[in-house]
Amino acid sequence: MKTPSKKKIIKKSSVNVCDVQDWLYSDIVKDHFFNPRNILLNDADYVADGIGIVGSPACGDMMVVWIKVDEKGEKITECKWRTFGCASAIASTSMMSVMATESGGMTLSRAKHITPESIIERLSGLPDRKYHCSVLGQSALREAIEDYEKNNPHEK
Amino acid sequence: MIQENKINYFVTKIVTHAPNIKTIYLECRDGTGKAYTPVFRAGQFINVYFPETGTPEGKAYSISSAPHEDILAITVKAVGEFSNKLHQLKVGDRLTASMPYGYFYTETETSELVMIAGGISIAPFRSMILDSLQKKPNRKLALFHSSRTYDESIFRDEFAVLEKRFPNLKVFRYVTRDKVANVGIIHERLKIEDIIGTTDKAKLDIHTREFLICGSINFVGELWKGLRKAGVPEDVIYTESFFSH
Repeated sequence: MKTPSKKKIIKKSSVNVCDVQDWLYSDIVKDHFFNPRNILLNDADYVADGIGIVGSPACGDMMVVWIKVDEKGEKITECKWRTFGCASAIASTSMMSVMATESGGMTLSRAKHITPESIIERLSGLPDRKYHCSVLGQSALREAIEDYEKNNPHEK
Repeated sequence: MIQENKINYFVTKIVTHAPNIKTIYLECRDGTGKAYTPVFRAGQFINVYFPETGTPEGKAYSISSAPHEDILAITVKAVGEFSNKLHQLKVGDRLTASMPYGYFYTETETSELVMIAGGISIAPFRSMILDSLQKKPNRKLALFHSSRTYDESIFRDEFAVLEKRFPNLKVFRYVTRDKVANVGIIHERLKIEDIIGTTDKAKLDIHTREFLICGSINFVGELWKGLRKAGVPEDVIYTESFFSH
């Protein structure tokens, strides 16, 4: 079998579809990427009130969000997540999890329509081509809330 | 998960609104070949798949028909390889797409809706307007539609009829490129003041009015920022953005 030339291998391995040239991350994006908040790497013992999974394995951007809800069924007390997405997906979901749980927790009705725009604003911006990364976390959170409401119809 | 819901749709009708805009009517068929329309909410989309275009994740298209019409239609502008493939479909052709999906809708039925659309993203608002009027004929509705050309300012006749029948519906059309004056068209860029000006500022912090913005990422981002700057609370703004394809 013919061995591919070294040049070819280097060229191929340096291509990363998620990385694009010439943009700068804001300091907040970098901070959330290097120190992601509320990330859940091992969910084996984590008991969530709602789970949301979105994304497509074909695109390599799977996202899982777990939430815990207060006893009254009104506010999010914990928002954990894990993704196989890129830096922007990590940073924006990290920020989203902070927004969902800060100041005593976001109400479910409010969290249902948290917008990518509000996440991006808190991150001090994301390039347009990374917009969909912020949609991932938001969609998974929405699915997690739906899951919670489905399992707790009396709380709705 | 979206990707697990791939189903076959069949094209039943095609309506051309402009040289580059078509509405494609779709139906599903059950095991016996009987046609049915999948359940959806106004504001949802279907994810269309043409794997041969090198996009395994598919592309999302908003549903422009209303649930009570018992029809599922998407309104598509031909802008690239993917949308051109949709434009080439003929009656009887099969299309692979997801079940209806998405959360671009308000859950109240009493708020006033201010809808802001850039270009082809008027599609989900046709669905929402028809749906709202069917459920609550007196609901206050305003649509601000900005398009590049007069041709792309679609659903004109249909909305004109609705505006006459429902005085609580107001449609404001903005055309940015055509300079030829047309009746009922504002030949300017859509401004935040126009949107806010038609609403009562004193009431902005009360949850009686909700804003829904749909368009390109840039369009939605700019308007979202503009509304926020004008004092509109975050939690009454809904957004849906798309990439051109």
